[in-house]
Amino acid sequence: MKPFMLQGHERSITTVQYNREGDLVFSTSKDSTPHVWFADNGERLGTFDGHKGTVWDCSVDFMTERLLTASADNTARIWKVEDGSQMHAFEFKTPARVAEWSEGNKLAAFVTDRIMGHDAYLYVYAIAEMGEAQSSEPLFELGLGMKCQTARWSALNQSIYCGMDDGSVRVFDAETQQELAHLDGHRARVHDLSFSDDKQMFITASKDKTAMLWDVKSNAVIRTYRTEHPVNSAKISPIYDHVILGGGQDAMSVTTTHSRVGKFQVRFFHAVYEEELGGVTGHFGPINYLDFAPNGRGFTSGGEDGYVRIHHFDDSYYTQAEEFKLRDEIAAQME
Amino acid sequence: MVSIADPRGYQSTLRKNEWEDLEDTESDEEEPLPELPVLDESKDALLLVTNLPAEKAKKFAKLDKYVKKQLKKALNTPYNPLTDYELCVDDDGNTTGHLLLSFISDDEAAFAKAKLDGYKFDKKHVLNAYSFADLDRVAEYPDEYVPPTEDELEANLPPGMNENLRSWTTDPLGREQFVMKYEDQVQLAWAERDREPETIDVRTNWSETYLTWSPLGSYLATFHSDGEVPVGVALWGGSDMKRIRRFPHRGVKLVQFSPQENYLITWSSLPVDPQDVENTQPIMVWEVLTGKRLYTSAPKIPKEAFSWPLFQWAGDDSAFARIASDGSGIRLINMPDMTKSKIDIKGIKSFAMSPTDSLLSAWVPEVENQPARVVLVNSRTGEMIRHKNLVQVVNIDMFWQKSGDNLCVKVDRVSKSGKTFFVNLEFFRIRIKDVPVETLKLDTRVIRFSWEPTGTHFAIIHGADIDVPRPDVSFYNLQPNKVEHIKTTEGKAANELFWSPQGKHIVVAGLRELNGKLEFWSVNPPEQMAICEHLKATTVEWDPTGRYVATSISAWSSSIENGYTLWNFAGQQLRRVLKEKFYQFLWRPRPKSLLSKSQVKKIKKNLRHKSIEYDRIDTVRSSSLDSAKRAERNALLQEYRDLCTRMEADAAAMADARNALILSAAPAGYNPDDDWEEVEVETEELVKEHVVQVKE
Repeated sequence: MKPFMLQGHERSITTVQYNREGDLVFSTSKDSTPHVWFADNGERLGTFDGHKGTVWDCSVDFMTERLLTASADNTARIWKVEDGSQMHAFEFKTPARVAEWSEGNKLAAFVTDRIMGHDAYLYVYAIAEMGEAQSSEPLFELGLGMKCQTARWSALNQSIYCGMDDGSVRVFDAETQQELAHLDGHRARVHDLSFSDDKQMFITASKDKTAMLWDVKSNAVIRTYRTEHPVNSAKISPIYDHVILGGGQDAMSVTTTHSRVGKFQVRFFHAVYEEELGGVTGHFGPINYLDFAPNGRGFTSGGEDGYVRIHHFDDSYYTQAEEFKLRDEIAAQME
Repeated sequence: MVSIADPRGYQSTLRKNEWEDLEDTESDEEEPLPELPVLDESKDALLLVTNLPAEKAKKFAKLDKYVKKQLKKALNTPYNPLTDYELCVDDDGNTTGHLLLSFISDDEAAFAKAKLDGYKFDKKHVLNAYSFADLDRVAEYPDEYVPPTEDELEANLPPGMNENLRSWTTDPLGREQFVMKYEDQVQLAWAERDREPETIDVRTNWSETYLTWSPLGSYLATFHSDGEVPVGVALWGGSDMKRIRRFPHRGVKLVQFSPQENYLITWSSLPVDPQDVENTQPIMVWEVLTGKRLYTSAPKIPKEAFSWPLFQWAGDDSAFARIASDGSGIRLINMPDMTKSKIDIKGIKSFAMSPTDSLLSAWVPEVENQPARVVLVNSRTGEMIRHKNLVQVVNIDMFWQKSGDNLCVKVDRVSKSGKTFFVNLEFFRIRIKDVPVETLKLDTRVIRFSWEPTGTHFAIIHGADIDVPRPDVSFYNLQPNKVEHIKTTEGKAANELFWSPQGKHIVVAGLRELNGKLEFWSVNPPEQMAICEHLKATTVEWDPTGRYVATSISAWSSSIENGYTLWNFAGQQLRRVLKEKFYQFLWRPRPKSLLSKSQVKKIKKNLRHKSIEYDRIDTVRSSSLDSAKRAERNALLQEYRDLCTRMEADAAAMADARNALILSAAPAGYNPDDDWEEVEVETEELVKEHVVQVKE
C-alpha cells in the first residue's frame, strides 16, 4: 500500500512512536513541536505546543493518556494526550535527550546531555497519578561520564539499559544504581536500543554501520546485521523473524553525497540468517528513527528530510514471509 | 718467546718477532725458518695455493723471498699463523707455481684462504687457494656422473629458489587468484564464480603502503619502512607465499619490474644522505634472482616533471632507457652487464619501445622550417629503419601492439588557422619489408586509443573536443591491406577503455566524474552485451583469462561504499563485496601460455567435449555448496530456535508479574485484549474511507 507521507514538521524528525494499540503515531522533531497522527489515514490529530528547542525523544504511556517528551530546551515534560495540554515540566541544566516510561507507568527515566561542563545524567522520577501533584525531586540521579543517546527499562523495571557514545551498552540496577553490566560490541556510538515484546532480546543500532541483536540473559550478541552506512535505528518485528534498519550517511556529509549512493532506505534483514531481504525507499535524507506497528503489520519512519512515513504492509509481505518460514521449516525437517 | 694457544689444544712455541724479521732482513741471506713440531694436522688447516709464477731454479731464492713478503702483506696478521711453508719445486729445482701452507688452526686457514683466493700476486698472477679438504672432496668425486636427486637439487638452490614460483597456475579448477587490501589486512584468495572466494592467506600489515604483482605473477611486492620485515621492498612467492627476496632501500615508494621479471627498479623519495651516499640513492636497479644491486643513480628531476615509471624496458629485459636530460637522444642501459649506449635523436620529445623486438619509435616536434618527424630505430644498433615527416603537429602518442606487429602513431593536428583540431592515426606495419605506413584520418579528437591485446582490433573514444561530455566510441579492425571500420556508438558517458586480456571483449567505462558507467561490448561482430553501473567506481580490472571484471571503490579516493564488484565478461554481476577501509583489489597476472598456436587451436576445436567435463565439475561443486549452505542455514535456525525456546520459558516465568505490573497503569478490570478488538474494527472503517477519497 502506498505509504502516508506526513508533512507537518518543519525540520528533521528525531523519533516516531506508536502507542500500544497502534492507532496513533507520535513524532518529535527539531522544530520543537511534537505531533500525533492517526496511523490509519495519516491525518494529524494534534500537536503539543510549548517546547522551545529540538524535541529529542518521547514516550507514551500504556493507556495513551500521558506523553513524556525530552527537549533541548533543558526540560522534559508530561503532556495530556487528550487535549495536548502540558501537565508538568522537569527542568535540567543541560538538554534532555531521552524520556522513557517504566512498565506500569509509575516511574520515568530521563537522560540529559553532557555539555557546558556538566556530565550526562540518568534521572529517575516517580510520576504522580493523573490529577495528583508531581514532585520535581528525582528518586535518583546518576552521572554517566559520557553522552548517552538511548535508555530503556528492562522487564519488571529491574534495570535500565543505556546506549553510550563509545559504542558500549551499560546496564544499571534501577534500585541500587549499580552498574550490572558493560556490554562491548559496537565500535562507535549506539544510536538506538529497543527490546523485543517479551524483553528477552534487544537490538542496538550503531554508527559503526551495524545493528546487533542481543540476548538479555547472557548479554551476548546473537546476530549482527551489516550495512554500508551508519545505522540510526533498528527494530524487531513483533510477528516475524525480521528486523528493520534505518540510517544513511551522516547529516553532515549528505550534501556531498549522490542521493543514490546515500541509500536512504529502510532495510529488512532476516533476523536468523543476517541476510538482507529487501528495502523500502522514499526518504531523501537519512532515516533517523523507525518504529514497528505493535501488530507487526506496518512501520513508521522519520527522516532527516522532515517527513514521517507510515507504511502498511501489502499482502505479498505476509505471503512471502510465510513462504520463507515454511521453506525453512521443511528444510530443517529434511535434515 | 711467547706461547700461542692453538685452538686444538696444542701449545706451539714461536718467536713473536720471527714474522717481522722476514720483512726486515733485506739481505739475500735468508734466515731459515725455525724447525716446527709436526702437528696432527687437520686437512682444513692445509692450503694449496696455485697460480704462482713458475720460475727457473736460479730465481728460486728471489721468488721465495717475494712470496713471503706478499704472504705477509696479504694475511696482515699480528702474529705468524703459519706452521709450515713450502714453495713447491720440481726435480730440477724449478718452481711449479704451487705453494703449500700449514696453519695453526682451521680457522686461521679459512681466514687465509679467503684472503689468498683471488689475491693479485702481481700483474699476471691471481692466486687460487684450496684447502686440502676441498682437494680431497674433488679427489673423491666419482668418475661417473650420477644425476642428483630432486631433494639434493632443492637443497642446493639459492634461498627461495626451491619454491615453485608458478604453483598457482596449476590449480586443478583453473581458478584465478587475487589479492585484496583492506584495513590493515591483506587477503590472498581464489576467485569463485558462484560463491564466496576461497581464502588462501590473510596477513596483518603485509605491506605498509600498497601491493603490486610482478608482471608475470610470480612475486607479490610489499613495502616496508620497519618492523617485522626490514626496510625496503620484499617479494613473496611460492605455494606458501614465503619471502623470496628483499631489496633494502630506505624510503622506497615506487617500483617497476622489468617485463620478464628479471630486474626491479626501486625509487625512494628521501634525499641522499651525505654520510651514506651509496645506500641512499633515489634510484636502484636490482637483479631479482640474486637480490644483487646492479646500479644506482641520483638523477636530477624537477618535481613537476617526475612521472613514474621513469624508464622504459625493452620487452625482453635486454635494456632500459630514458630520454637524455639534455634532450639529445635516448640513453640505454643494456642488461645484464650494465653497459651504456646512446641513440642520438636531437630534439626528441618522447619514445616508445617495442614490447617484442629491439625496436623503438620516437618523435621530434616541428622546429622552424623542419617538419615533425616520427622515427623507427633499432635500439641495439641505433640504425634508423623508417621515418615519416608530419606537419601541423600538436602532439604525438605512440602505441605498440602487444604482439609488436604494428605501431599506431596518434598524431594530433591543427588546421593552419589554429582553430580546427583533427587526428591522423598512422599505422606502421613492422613485419612488412620497408615498414609501409597506412593513415586513418579522423576529423575529431581522440580521447583514448587502445589496441586489442590479442588480435588486430582497436578501439577509440573520440569527440569534437577533449572534454566533450558524451563522446563517441568506435571499433576498428586493422586488416592486412586496410583499416576496417566496424562500429561507432554515439554519445557515451565514457572516458576509459578496458580490453579483455584475451581480446574480443571490451569494457567502455566512464570513471571519476562520470560516476562509474560500464558498458560491456563484444567487438566483432559488434554487440553491446550489457550496460551496468558501479556508482563511483575508481578502478576496472580484467582477470588475466578475460573471464571476470572487478570494479572497485578504493578508500584512497572515496570513503563511501568501499569494496569491489565482480562481473563476468558479459557484464552480469556475480558478487558485490563491501568492506570498510578497502584499498586494493589486484588480479594475479599469469605468465605467457606455453601452448603453441596449433595446440590452442586444437583445444578450441575440442572445447565442446572438454566443457562437458567442466560442467560436470561445476555441478558437483555447486551441489555440494548448496547442501553445505543448507546445512549451515539449518544450524543457524536451530540455534536461534533453541535460544527462543529458552527465552519463551524465561518470559513465561515472569509473565504473571509483568502483566500485573503493566496493567497497574490501567483502571481496575481493564482487559487489553478486549480493547484491541474494538480498535481493529474502527481501523477497517478508516481505511475504507481513505480509499474512497483517493478515487474521488
